[in-house]
Amino acid sequence: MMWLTFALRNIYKNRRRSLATILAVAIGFCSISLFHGYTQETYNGVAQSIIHGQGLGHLTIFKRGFSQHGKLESEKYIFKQDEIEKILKLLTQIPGIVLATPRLSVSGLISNGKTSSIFLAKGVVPTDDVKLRDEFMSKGGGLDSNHPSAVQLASGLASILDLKPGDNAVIMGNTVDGMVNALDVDILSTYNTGVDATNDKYIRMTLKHARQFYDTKGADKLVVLLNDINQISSIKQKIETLAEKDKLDIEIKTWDELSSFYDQLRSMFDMIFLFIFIIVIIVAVMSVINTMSMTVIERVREIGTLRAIGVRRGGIKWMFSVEGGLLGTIGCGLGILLTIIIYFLMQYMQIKFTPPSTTAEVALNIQLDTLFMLTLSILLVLLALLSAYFPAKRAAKLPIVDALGHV
Amino acid sequence: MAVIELFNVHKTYHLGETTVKALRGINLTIGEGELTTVWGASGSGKSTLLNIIGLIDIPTSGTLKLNDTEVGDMSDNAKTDLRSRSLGFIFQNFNLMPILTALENVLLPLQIQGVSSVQARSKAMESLKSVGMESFALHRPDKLSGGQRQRVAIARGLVTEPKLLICDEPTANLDSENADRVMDLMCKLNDNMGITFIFSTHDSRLIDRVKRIVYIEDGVIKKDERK
Repeated sequence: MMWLTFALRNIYKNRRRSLATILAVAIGFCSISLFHGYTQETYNGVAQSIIHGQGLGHLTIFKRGFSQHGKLESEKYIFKQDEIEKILKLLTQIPGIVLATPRLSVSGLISNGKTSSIFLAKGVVPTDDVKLRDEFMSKGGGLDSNHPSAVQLASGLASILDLKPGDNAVIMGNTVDGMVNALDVDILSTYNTGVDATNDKYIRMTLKHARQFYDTKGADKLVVLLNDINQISSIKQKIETLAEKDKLDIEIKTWDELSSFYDQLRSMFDMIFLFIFIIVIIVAVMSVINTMSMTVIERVREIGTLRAIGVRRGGIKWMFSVEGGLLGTIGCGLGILLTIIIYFLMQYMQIKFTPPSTTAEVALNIQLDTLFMLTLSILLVLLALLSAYFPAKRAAKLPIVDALGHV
Repeated sequence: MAVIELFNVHKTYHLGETTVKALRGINLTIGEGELTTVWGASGSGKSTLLNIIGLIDIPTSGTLKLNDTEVGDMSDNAKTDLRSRSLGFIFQNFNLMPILTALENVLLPLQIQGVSSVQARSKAMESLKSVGMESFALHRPDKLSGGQRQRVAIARGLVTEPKLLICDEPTANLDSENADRVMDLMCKLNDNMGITFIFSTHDSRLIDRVKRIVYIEDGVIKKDERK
């Protein structure tokens, strides 16, 4: 208590210098918290967009070997109708699964009668797709089960082929047996994939039409949607156990294993965060060290007096460390306040921007992560305490006579 | 009973290539309740002697006993605790904490000892009263005159009821009126409370007022005069 009074009064006495240090800690805290909040919001947003927007679901079930050889010999890795039914039956035994739906990916050429372009399409069950994509469903609505030949075209592809909703086109490609096939498609609507690289290639079509195009009754994957993203690994394990019992030769991939983009994005942001974190921490720590070193120099005689009247060396170290810790605590408190103010300002201003390689504007949102802010506060206070400890240790070592004679 | 005993104490400083012999074979005994002044010119070794007696400096050789206990082999923490329990200091420059009020300055040694807050406060007020500074309890040192500051410093030195009060040139920074007041106060405390005082000075005005004068010159006691 005595040292706390000492620390508070000395901070107030040197208020201009203390304010500079407190601001350095507060601004550092605020920058780290805001950037962390931004990265968390981005990870969350991207995860939601991959799981729901791209329709990857939480888990995807393939025939074993699909991930290695499926691209070259897709026909070998297509589930037959009875296998699909068996897997769907198995999945009904596991709680926490909201939806399991078969999919068939197809590719080929699409033509408007004059020009043609390559396409990549997902054959989906329209009613399941609505459930899966939820709020990510494009403005034009979903596919229509009663109109199997209707397709949704990525806007870039529609623009290349000069196709609009209501127009017709022809898709051409090979069936699973290697025969050439062509089907008519009706353009139901267009949508933006959000990514330049896919916006000129993607088509969404009904599973029925995709099966007709590939001349098969099967599906190359089953997409599983869960109640809770945190249950992914436990449900994956349960499916694997039950599949082994039923002798189903399957492999299961999680959404993040299938999305290299997410991993790359996360690594990049984590690296930037680490870089900013280190710089900010160095600035804050140096600021506390500088302030405390100056404080020690100015208070040498005071140290001598305290030692003479009975304060142990440990007491001197503690006195200055408390002062450093207090600077850190006040700085973190101000940092939390600043972070909250900026958070609400950003909510109010609704800032939007277009990220690289995307075509749609996204809102600049941040998350307020209280646990992170608490951890950061503890870390910064401890660092401030430690930063003050070394000048304090030097001060405590001063011979009393020299300290008393210091001018 | 002797409060302090020094046997053949030497102190040598090394300032670069120069060696300064500050004390050369000091033998001194100070009994309980004595008011002793160490008198000498600047650089004679009186401050060094008081620093060694106050356990804030270490002799190069010789023995120092405080209340019959040899302190030479004590650890730094043990010496610090002994200073806190048994010694009081009054410095030439008062050395009050500028951020604390007069009362808080006097409270400080008690807080260091871990005395409870209520008890410490009442003792500190008592101590301030004994030096006539109770009405300035809430004043910070920068709002006090030199004489008032020194009286607060004396109250701080007295508050733990030390066996010995060590004063290094306590009147050096005071005008003659304030120096007289401080001297009156020390004599009164010595007479009424039996507190042992040892103080250094080269102020000839104070010589007549003390019971014992130890004359020191070039680190050697030249004369030890009792009145």
